[in-house]
Amino acid sequence: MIAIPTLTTDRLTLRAPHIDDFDALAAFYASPRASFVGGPLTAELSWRVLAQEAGHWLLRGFGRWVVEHRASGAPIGIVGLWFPAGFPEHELGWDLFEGHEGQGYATEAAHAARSYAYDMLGWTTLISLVADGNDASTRVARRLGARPDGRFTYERFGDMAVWRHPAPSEVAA
Amino acid sequence: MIPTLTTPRLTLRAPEACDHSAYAAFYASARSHIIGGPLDETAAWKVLASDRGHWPLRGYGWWVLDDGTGAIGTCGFHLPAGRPDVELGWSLFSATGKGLATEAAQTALTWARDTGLAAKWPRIVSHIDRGNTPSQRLAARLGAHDTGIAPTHDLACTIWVHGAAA
Repeated sequence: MIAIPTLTTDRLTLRAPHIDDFDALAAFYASPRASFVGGPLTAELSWRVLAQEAGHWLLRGFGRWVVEHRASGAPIGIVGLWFPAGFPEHELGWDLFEGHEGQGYATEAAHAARSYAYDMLGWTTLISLVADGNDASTRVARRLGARPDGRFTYERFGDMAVWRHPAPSEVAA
Repeated sequence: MIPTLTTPRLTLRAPEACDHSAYAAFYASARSHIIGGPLDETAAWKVLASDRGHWPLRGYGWWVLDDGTGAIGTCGFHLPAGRPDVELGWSLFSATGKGLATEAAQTALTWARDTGLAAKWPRIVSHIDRGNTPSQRLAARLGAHDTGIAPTHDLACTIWVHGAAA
């Protein structure tokens, strides 16, 4: 059993997924906001996603964190490192729940997750996959300094843009 | 944290990353259609991850059945959010027709009863597709009975209820 690390930023805590996160996750996956990440999903399938998030950590030793808003304690999204079988490379992903967009939270959390990948795991590169038309996510990728780097066809979400993150030496600041 | 159980012919152990090829081969096959397949390798990996991830969420979950050569199937308990009853499930990737799923499911039931978990559950059910005769026979061998009622999440199945004690 690996211990899932907790990361802290100015406004956010990134922590292990927990069963109490189910309602927030299911609400997200039931909403139109999830249309870029395979949704909308039934409660049954949202449960599988939550179990999958926890299982990813146990199988790979890294995974995605639940992002908690420090001031309110509310879970506001899921951000982190993702590498299921069949993925071309390690991915940095971010899903922000309804009502928390437009405040820079995804960028702040993704930045912390990327620093963890580079500084603690020693990774030298990362990609993010963004669905066509997902302008908010494209803006987050740009803000993180990522650049377009080809396409990848993902079985559930279809053809997606690959965004390549700057190398550790380029984000040292 | 995930207990390892042994039967005369099998080890019931935690799902591991090395089980992916067995999951992927099964979910690529036509036999998986009864539990949502066929799935490609990424989707099969996600099934493996969710099987493993159920354990920290609930304190129980699915084991991989290992006959010494690797994963030949899965068996265990799960309770997706929103469902009323814990389900005992089984799925053989290979080595069918030898009673291995019965052996594993019986061991899982005994584990749930011996650890006291089963006493906390209103009942243990299995959701079995109306056309899945091998699984129906297996459930009957375990002492379960068919209510004839479909679970709300899957109308192709009926709810089988396991006895309170073995």
